[in-house]
Amino acid sequence: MDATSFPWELLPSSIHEEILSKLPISVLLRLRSISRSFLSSIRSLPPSLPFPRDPFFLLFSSSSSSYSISSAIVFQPSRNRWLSMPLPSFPATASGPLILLSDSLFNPFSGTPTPIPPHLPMTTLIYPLSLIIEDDGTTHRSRVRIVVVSTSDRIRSQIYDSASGSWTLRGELPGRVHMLGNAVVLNGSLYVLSFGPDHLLKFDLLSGDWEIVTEVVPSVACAHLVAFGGRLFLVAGVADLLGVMLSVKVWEFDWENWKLVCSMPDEIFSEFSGMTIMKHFHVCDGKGMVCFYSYSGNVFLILDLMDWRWWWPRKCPLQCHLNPFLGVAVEPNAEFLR
Amino acid sequence: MATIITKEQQEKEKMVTLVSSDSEKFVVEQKVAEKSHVIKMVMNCCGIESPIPVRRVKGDILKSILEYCEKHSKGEAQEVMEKWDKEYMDKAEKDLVFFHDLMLASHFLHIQELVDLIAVTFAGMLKMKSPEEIRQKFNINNDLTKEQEEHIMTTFGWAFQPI
Repeated sequence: MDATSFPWELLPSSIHEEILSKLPISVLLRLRSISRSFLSSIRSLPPSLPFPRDPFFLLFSSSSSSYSISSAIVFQPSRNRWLSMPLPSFPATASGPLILLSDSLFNPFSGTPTPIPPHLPMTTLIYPLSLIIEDDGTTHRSRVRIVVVSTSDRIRSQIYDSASGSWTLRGELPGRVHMLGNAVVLNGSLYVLSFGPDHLLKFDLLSGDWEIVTEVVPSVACAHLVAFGGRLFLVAGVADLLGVMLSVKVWEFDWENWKLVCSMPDEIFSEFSGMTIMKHFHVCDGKGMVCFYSYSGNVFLILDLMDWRWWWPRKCPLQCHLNPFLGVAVEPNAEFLR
Repeated sequence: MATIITKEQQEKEKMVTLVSSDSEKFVVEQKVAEKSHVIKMVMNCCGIESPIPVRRVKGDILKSILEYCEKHSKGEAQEVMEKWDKEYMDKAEKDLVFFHDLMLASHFLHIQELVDLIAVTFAGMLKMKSPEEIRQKFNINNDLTKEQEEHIMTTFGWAFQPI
């Protein structure tokens, strides 16, 4: 061995595993092209290893006139970089590596779509609420469930289950709701925000029972639910009577009340709002990282719930006049390494 | 009659001698040597009276490992340890052969904390580099076939976008 050589292939495979499991999947995909030895070490990594978090936040431009788009601008916090990924149409929601489009599940990392059958007809407008992907421990195949809802005089839900390959009507909650916000999965249930009235709702995925859990913190806007580490958070802006944002805060639901856990520091808020009147911002989250975007400041901001750190991503190459908005977060999984 | 053990003797009794593969001797406290799960097991079954041979590890590596174990047996504040670990790794990674041997030895001696530290440091070296830069740094020959390489680069092309 000369002074600079490093015999990777001579290291025991348990050391390969120790090293490679410290790298995000996206980096491992790149390292496959180093040599045969790297390729085979990476291919044989057990998918159950605790790889570092690596969410990708997808952004779209609302100024696209047609409904068909071809790509999304993507921010990857783990490497603080922007990249572009294919995307055939606007996404409804996402989970794991998959994005739910109107008629298919799309994997933006590989560019492959998987068609899904159309949902059951309903008399009122149906919109997608949640995509749930669970690893089936025995067959290594993921179970995919999709929940769609309609809200008129009551909430009606239907679920698609990849195990049966079909949709079933399941779940009803009487009472008029203006619309539903984002949904998160926690302990086998979906938690959903409703607006007008502003409630936290729970949908039991097994029984199909809907219930009202509690009210949402009063006088907030742009409310967004986040589930992370078994905890449930509400991220929202606090606005005055005219709807002008005064601050951005995070509350945790302790299963009785909402407890304030974090506020955006003043100096960060000033920069985020662009020192002008801010009435709206976008939020999107993945793996405990919450990504914010404000039109008024034309800036992106990240809050990491792991250590409650706020940080500014590298400047986005997308122009302000394109009115970008945050959509969904996806993450590559270990299956990609095969 | 009860034997009176002086404090010095007590201290002395806790010392153990380790011998590297090139016959270098190191006298360290038992609690330092215990950081290695393998040495701990040897001490548990054979005692600490006679020197313990560490056959697969050379003197310069064992010296460095014991330096780590000694620092980590003191129970200092986390910030102090993190700073010390960083400096320890900065020094180690300068010489890749030494770094490689340190990794093997810490794995062989079963010092999980050190294995983790080295793995994180090594992963950090790989993370921000392009495959070509990594090949150069570690003197790795690209033995993939053209077809294999093309397949890898096209299946997840986004992963190869410039950093």
